[in-house]
Amino acid sequence: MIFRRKLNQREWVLCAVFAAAILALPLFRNVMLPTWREWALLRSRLHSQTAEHDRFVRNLSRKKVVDAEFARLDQQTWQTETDQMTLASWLRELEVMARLPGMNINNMKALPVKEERSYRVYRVRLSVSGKLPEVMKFASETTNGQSVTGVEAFVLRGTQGPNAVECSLALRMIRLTSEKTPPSAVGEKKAKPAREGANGI
Amino acid sequence: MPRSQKRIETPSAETAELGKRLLPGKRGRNRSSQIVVCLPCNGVAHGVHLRLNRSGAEARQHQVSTAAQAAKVLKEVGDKCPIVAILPKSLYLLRVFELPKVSAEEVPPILELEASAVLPPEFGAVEVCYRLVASRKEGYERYEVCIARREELGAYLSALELLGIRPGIVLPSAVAWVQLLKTAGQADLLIAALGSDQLEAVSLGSDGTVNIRTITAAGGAEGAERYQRGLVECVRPLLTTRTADASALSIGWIGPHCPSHLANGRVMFKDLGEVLPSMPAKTESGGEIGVLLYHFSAALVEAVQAGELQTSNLLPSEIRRRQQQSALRKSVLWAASLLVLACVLAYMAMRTMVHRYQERIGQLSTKIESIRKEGEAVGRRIEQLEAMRAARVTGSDFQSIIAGLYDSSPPNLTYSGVELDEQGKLRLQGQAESLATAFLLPEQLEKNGTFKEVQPGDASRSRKGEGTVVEFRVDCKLNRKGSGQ
Repeated sequence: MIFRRKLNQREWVLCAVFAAAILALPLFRNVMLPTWREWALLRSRLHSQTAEHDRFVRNLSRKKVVDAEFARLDQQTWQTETDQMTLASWLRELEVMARLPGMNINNMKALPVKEERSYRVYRVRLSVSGKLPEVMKFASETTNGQSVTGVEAFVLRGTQGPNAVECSLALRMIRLTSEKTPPSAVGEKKAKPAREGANGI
Repeated sequence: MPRSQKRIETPSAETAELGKRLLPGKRGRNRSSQIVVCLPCNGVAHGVHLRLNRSGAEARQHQVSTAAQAAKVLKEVGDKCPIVAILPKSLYLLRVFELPKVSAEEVPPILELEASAVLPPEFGAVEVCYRLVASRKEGYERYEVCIARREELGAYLSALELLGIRPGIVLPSAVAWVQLLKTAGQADLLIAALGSDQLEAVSLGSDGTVNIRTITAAGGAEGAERYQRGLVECVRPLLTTRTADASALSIGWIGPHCPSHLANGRVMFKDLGEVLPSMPAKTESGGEIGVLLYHFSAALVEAVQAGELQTSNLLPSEIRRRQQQSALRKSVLWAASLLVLACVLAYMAMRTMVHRYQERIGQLSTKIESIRKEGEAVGRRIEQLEAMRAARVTGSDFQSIIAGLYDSSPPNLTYSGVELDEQGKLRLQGQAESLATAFLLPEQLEKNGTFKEVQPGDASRSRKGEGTVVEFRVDCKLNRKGSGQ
């Protein structure tokens, strides 16, 4: 009673507001906030699932076209050997292609294998010198073969001599992996020193 | 149930005119004003509820003698309608004070002090309210002050409180009369019944102040004759101030029993029922008061709505504060209730959405599981095909660049370096015979179609052997066909 007499009406109102806030806080923290979080989480999950569903539906709508394109693929497009063997055979092929009169391979280096979800990217950096027509022929043969090869970058410079050029080429070859193909441990181990070498170029 | 309830006027030509006069068009089409003017008399509260809108005026007269009747009437009237209680002249004094100009906040305490100075000490505690009248001296203001004994005012309010009526404004009849005189035309004296067996006679002085006298009915007479003696006493002082050739004294009479003449013949009575908006038929009892209250309500409604009569309110400040607190408490309670309701609604909405999302996610998961394996397999193939396509597109870069340069290079121009990076940016360096040739190159390259975004770089003349050559640099992008770039 003594305490009650000491408070005026305004103080009582403030006390009531404060008490209401104190009571409302646990209610907010334990009921409103978890519900809001659950709602936000479910909403984001729904968005991601809708996007996934749409993606699958879109993929399936293209199934016939994709299957037809796949049927036309050459056997050499697929990864059948280890990374080491694949790289070795590709380098050998390049060497064979470079055997042209008046053209030399100055330098050739395999770069680390890049492993994607459904394919692998083999990369080679090489430097050749010779007459421009020969270099062009070499570049054409390397990219128009049966394996899927592309040019990442190149630097072409003129050198001493009529029509003589020096060309640094960065080539990449794609090999498709089937779902069952495990990541090549051998290839990974080999790739590491090669990367160190590549940084030094 | 109210003892009597009579609709005074439904929209008619006259009341429509009243509505238009009091509610000018510029204030909005749908605006409406309302007021309740009441007066307790012998345990019965007489009241008139006037509602004005663009289509006209509508008034209801009520007489309530119990709290239940009053509650019913107040419910019908609504919370937002201002309730004005008229204080008869018998309960207050009128004094005029002249004060130096002061701020509005300082006026009430000064007037209270002045009033207590002029009143005898046995008068007791008083409540004052005021209205400004025309000033006669520069730097001074004149206030017509209504002074009521707090004790009598308390008894008056208690009578209303017993019936459950809590007025927002207690207005001295003088203020109501002033408002009415503005519309009542050019009568020298206004007389109307205000209370049982008593009339109030009001005249407006030349200085803007109001003179009010209460005329009490004499016993043993009927009708207007009851007041004859009082009337004579009231009219005599007015006649003495008039010159002999002046026209007859005009007395405006509100309500029934308007006398046709007074014995001396120098007085003319005018029934204001013909001038003011049409009146209702007399009700069972207390009808005379109802008629006057009706005219008061019509005269006061706009001023009350505009808050012009705040200084004329005799409601004690303590009660006013209590009313404000009550209103505030009600608003806070409403706001808190709405907040709680909003929270509950938000919670329910979220729970509903959670439920719906769970359902939709369940349905989607089933659908996704049924197509996941095949969809992922096709997606993987699409990814593989796209990688192959991207590699193949770059396969012919070397040849197409060389062919493009061969086609678009002007004569007498050679290249010393051609660089293509992984982003498809191409840098060309070389020598030309003249600056004109070097500057011609970008245009030719752009036309070729193999290159895009061609930007000429440096071009400078340098010494070579015995002659000079122009060394240039051009940056551009490779326009790969089929790559979408």
